[in-house]
Amino acid sequence: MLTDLLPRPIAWILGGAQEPQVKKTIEPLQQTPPDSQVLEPSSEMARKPPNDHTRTSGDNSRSARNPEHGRHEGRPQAASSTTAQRYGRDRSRSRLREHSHKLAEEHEALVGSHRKLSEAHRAVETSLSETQIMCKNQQQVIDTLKEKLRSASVLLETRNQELKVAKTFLSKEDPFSTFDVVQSVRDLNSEIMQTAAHLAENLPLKRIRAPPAVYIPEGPCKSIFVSLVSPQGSGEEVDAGLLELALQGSLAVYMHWIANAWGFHQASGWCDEIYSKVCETGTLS
Amino acid sequence: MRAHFNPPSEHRTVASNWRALTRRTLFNIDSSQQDLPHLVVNSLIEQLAGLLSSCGVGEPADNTDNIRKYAADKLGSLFTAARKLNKMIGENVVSDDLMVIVIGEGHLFDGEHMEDAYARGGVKPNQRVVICTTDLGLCERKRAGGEKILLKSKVVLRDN
Repeated sequence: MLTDLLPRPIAWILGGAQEPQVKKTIEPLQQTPPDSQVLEPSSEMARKPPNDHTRTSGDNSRSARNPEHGRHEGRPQAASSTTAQRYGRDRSRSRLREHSHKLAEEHEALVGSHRKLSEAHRAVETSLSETQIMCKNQQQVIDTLKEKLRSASVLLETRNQELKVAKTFLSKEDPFSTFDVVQSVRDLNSEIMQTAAHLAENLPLKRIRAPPAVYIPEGPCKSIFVSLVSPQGSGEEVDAGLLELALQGSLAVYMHWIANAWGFHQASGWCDEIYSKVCETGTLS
Repeated sequence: MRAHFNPPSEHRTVASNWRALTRRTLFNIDSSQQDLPHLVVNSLIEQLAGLLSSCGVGEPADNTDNIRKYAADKLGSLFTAARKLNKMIGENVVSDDLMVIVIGEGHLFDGEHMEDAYARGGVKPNQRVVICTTDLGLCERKRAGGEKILLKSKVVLRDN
């Protein structure tokens, strides 16, 4: 197989009569598999027996025609072939060595790359696991935030409902000023006075019996009438001016009650007390 | 204690709005009775008639008829005016807490809150007792506590 590395004329020589020696010399080299592949095609030629008619038929026919030719040139040819073989072997060795070095370097490079890849793989795996943990944590955070958002939404909805209710209680601009209210009170007073005067003018003033003629429950109006009208019990007629005053005072008491009333049923009597408590606490509880 | 008597302003705001809403609701319930003014005026007439009779003037039934005859319309008008005032101070005005006032019999005269209806020049009404109020007054309950008189009540005082 090494003969493929040699120049073609030398290979032809090796393929001739010196075949046993060549084989002996070449044998150790046949143990180098890498070269065997590289030199494969030419090795066919080296192995061919001297009697092979396919390629050496020319040489054999030449030797057959001129038997003296091989006899005279045999020795110098052997010497030169040995040198060539040696030259070839050295060259092959050096090429093999170079090739081996290259392979070793490539192997080292591959081992280094493998190591780097392994490290990178480990780093990627570590990073992946960290990322997975991070994702898990983030997912938990997202879940917590979703829960918070849901609670906030519910709270917002509740607050909106409360605000809608509270809108009823929001302060609005009063449609009447204090002056308007004072004027209304003055108008009412004037109307009370006119009504009392009108009644005092038109009612019969003659006393038909001495007071207290008819019993009526105690109250602010009764005390007014008792104070202003009853002391004149001995007279036949009541004083119109005093009766007017008593009627005016009584009507004032009634109008005061109507103006401040929470309603005209008994339950509204509780409202003033509740209102005072609401003023103090701001709540109904 | 001070906080108890001087409620925070927001409490008063809540209370004022509660007052307006409650009074509106209660009067809406009352207004379902269509003859409410008539009922109130009738009640008023009967009470005045009873008062007159207690002083020996006429029989209660006669007094009732007379008052209805001469003053039913005026008393109805009075009720309308008083109810209007009630709505103003109870439902419409919420920024202030207004209240109509009368001075009851037996109170000593106080120039800061009342006015002598028959004041005579040079005579001080102090130390005199109130018999009745002829003209209604108006006061504002302050948020910080206390009252501010917006219109003094006119009162009839007993001679010493």
